[in-house]
Amino acid sequence: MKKFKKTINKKGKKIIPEPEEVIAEQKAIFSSVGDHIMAIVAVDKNGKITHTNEAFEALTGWREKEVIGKFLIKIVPREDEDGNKVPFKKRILSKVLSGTILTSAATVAVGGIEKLPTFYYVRKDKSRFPASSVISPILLNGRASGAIEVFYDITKERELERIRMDFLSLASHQLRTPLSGIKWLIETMYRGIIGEMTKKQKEYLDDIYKINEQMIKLISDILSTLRLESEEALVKKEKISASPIFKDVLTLVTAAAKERKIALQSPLNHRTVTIKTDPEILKSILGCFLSNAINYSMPGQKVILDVKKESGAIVFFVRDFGIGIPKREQKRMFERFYRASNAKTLKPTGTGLGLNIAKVLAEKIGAETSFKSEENKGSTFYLRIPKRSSGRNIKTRNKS
Amino acid sequence: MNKILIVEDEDFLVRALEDNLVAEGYTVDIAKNGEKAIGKIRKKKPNLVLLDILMPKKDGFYVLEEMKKNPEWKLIPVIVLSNLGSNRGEDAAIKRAMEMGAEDYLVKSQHPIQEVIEKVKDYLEGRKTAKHSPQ
Repeated sequence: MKKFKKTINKKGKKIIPEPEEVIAEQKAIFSSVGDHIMAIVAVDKNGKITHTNEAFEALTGWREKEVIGKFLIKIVPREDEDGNKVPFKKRILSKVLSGTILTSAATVAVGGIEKLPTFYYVRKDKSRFPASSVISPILLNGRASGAIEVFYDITKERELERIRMDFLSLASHQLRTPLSGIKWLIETMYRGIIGEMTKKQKEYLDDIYKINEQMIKLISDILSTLRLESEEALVKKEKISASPIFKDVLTLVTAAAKERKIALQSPLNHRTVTIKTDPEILKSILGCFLSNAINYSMPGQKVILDVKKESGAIVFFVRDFGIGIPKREQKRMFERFYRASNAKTLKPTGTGLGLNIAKVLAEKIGAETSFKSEENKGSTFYLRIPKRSSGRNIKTRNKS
Repeated sequence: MNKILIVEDEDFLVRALEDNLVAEGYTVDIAKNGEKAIGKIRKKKPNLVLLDILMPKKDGFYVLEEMKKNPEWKLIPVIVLSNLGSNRGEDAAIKRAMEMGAEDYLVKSQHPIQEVIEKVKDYLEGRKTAKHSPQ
């Protein structure tokens, strides 16, 4: 960097560094950034390679001098899991250069729930590696004069993910087996086929059974959240009408509502609503809203499932007139394991995972969850599904 | 008299299944791993198999595979009872077992034993036709 600082000498006279030296230094800097892990490649506005770093060579097998002036998307083809080439037009780089994407929407989030379907980059020797990449436009006066892509090999991350899933699957099995044993043995005792029990014995058994069911529910919920985090986007997009969805979710919670003496209502608005989304995910979210509404209402109250059309979106909502959520606790409602203080008092056995699962599921279908609530007056939970979207940027990302 | 083979390595689950099935009037045989299961199928010719997946020696997938490639056995309905798998039904284990020809797959902790018994009755008392049986 010395040369740039020395552009003015002691006498105040400008010293212009030799252009070749500057270029050489810039090249050296570019080449060294990222060590041998983060490949960096710059392209001009036509998508032709102008610079690469050492990691680019290490990862792809291409030396800089072989690729300068060539199209990046031809030099490094992108493939999906099944080995299908991603067409040039659909490559994020093409979108960045054409100005379709000028923001970080083109970049790829790694980890967390915004996981992309894995893609692969193909090396010079035709072998391939799973990659994660970030592509940013080089903006000059608001227009893309080129782009820089940074990518790296995620083979190790994928392996860790696989180990994690194997562990989850085994842990779930090991935890559930003894619990299912307790469940089935108690159910067998209830049937009376191994002899009758006294009233008191039956009461004890009822308690044990309930505790066991609680444990089963807890494990099942924990596994669902962990799975959701690691599951790659398996979101369907089907055109469906709201009526059968309403029918299904209401059927699911009828028994619980009856037990708590809650009247379920659904105005007829759903008859005219159709939507493109994943029906199973939609049902899971509404089911979660409904069971919360039922659990946190008082006997004799009603719970309403309804839907309304807004500009650009369909909003499903579940309204109750129950205990509500204390104002100071409202911002924590979608946190994992968080339960409002009054909810804990009314129903000590909740797992605190329902709303968190609902939120993650909503993100998967590109929807938003929100609520309005007042303590002792009730809550309304909303699921807002935009008409033109299935999953946050998933459309762009799936094909990139 | 309908014969049911329970393939399960956990004694407490075997006991629960056995007591309930016997109470319904079925004859029950037991195999505690996949290898023994094949021997029992050969000798006892059960009318239905309740099959666990994770077991010592040979697992449930092995049993399923052996059954489906044997012309004499492939029509015996198999209900998989396993704690592998999520509730959302997109699980790899569930998919695999169903593709291999299991009639049903119940995640044990999620279903009362009465439901298992009802499924058995469905297939054995002709309330439901096994998908692999001749039409």
